[in-house]
Amino acid sequence: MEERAGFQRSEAELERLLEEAKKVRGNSLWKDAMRRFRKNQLSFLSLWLVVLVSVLCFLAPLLPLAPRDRVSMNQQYLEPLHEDLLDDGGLFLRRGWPGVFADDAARDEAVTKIVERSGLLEGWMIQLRYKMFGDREIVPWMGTDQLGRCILSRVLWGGRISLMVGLVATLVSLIIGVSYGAFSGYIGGWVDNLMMRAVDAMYSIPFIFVVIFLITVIKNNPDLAIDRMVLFFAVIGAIYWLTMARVVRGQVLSIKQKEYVEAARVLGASTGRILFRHLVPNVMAVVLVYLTLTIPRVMLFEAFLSFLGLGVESPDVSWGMLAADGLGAINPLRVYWWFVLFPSLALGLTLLSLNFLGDGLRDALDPRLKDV
Amino acid sequence: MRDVLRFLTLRFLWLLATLWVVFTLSFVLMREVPGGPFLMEQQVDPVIQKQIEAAYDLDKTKWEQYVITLGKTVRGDLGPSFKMRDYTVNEILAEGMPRSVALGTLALLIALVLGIVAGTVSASRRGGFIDRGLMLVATIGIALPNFVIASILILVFVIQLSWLPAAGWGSLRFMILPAFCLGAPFAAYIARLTRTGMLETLTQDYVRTAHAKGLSPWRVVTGHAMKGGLLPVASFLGPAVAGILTGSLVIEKIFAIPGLGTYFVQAALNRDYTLAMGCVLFYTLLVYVMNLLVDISYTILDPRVRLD
Repeated sequence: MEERAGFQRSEAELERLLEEAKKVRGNSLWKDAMRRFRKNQLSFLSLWLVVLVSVLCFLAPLLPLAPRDRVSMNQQYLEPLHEDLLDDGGLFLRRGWPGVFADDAARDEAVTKIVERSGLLEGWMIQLRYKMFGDREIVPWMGTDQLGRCILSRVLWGGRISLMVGLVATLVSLIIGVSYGAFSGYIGGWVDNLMMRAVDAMYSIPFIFVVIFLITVIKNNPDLAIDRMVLFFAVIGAIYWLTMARVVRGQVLSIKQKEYVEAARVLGASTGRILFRHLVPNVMAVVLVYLTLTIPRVMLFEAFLSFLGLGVESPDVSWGMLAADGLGAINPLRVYWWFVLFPSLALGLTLLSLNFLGDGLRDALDPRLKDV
Repeated sequence: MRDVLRFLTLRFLWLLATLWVVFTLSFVLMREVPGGPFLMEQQVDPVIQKQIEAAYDLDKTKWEQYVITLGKTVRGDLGPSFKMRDYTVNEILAEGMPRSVALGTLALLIALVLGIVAGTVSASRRGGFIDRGLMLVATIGIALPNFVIASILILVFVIQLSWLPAAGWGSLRFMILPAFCLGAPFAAYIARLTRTGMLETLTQDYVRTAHAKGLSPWRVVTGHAMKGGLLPVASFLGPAVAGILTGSLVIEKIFAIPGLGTYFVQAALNRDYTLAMGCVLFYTLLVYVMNLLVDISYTILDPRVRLD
């Protein structure tokens, strides 16, 4: 009887208990990881640096920068904060195109031309920038290059392309790799065997050389209506999915025996549903780690191709191309240190931060993987 | 012995298959992509057009062309260069290869020596200041592109100190800087791998035994721990060779070294199709053979690993 009384009493008691339970928070995998990640100061700092660089580069069209490809031959190789750059507008802003345009109409026409050449979002941002700042622009405090172009502007615009290639190509490789690996691991048997043999075979092809050959064929080809950047994303993404597929397959093999997968199958879930609803979310931790480590590799590859002159083409800029320009200007007579330093610094710091970030995420999400 | 023979035959067949795939891919790209080498922009004299077509068997069907070119390639004849007059692709490859191989070998040596020394020191001073410093440098080495490293080193050693020549090819002096820049990222990887491997072996019982019987720390590390600790490095050598070959495209360009990489990039920029294709096939062969050698050496180093 007493027990029953206790049971009855618990109506109010239950409410109280529920209230109490609400205050207690369980630690999910992600929260746990977040806590570990915060402890790693270097990685945390890297995260903020990556975010800062990404935001700055994304906003480049909105900032009052000199146009990235405007040549001014009387401003060649000006040192950072050279007095020629400071004279009329002070330290921060100056009138950008003094005497170039006869009137506002001529300037508006030039702006329209730039906008037409750019993409939709980019064009809109550039228009907004001219509405806000007019022809005022930031003093090129990183100096100017061999054609008198503002290096600050080129570094930020170049970062847009470098980061975008890194991100989009990695996403392409992510989608291919995860689908391929998860499918192969889940189906198993001879299908798995065959699919993984194919991956092994592709591993032995030195794709970088094949890609350069591909670019040889497609370069300057007017008949091919393929956007250079689209080709870039597709090709780079198509190379880097191999490792992702292997990693995901290994993970799926180990979790497909779990009871919840069995339960889903018994309930009649389709293969696709099990794959993308039950298996893929559970390998996301590993995928995320691998993702952050792939982005710098892809960016490095883009920089490598652009450095060789096989990547992006003028008027687009990327960090690899800027580094090549700087290296080409090194000579024993005069050292244009700013021309080498700033693009290299931007590329180097971003790649370094991404590497630290990836290492930190790996340690935080899966401590077992440490030191692998 | 039978195992080894079977393994080698299998790998040889795989090599042939890989080369065939790369060849077919290149062939299709070359002949099928609009604006390819055989579609001239200018009007050519019809007679000359005929001669070109005859010389490259363009008057035959696509399949016949494919078979003929494949036959020539199998016999090791890669055809004439498209852009360099009076040169065959074979001659260009033969000229560029020794330079690239010399540069790559030196780079690999530098990477191995620097990496193993740094990794071992790091592991034996685990957690200390030296360990952390070295690993930070290693991460920087992995993250930075080799052309950034090259531009810094050129500024310091060529422009400021003028100790080394800026570019060119000739004596060993010309090779130091490029080989170092080429090897640096791989030295960083090897240092990391060595550290991990050494950390594992240094905690093993047999290492403790070696310490206990009174060997000097130096003897313990070099004589006992290193054997096991360097296994991960051996398996990294395959990717490292492939990476050094890739990296030499950039390094050869920076230091104006007339090697294979320079020719390949030139071919890609000038649309010298036959040369580019020859280079791709050659690189594939090189990477494959190197990987094979590494796999074989791995089984010698670690008898637990079997060939299959």
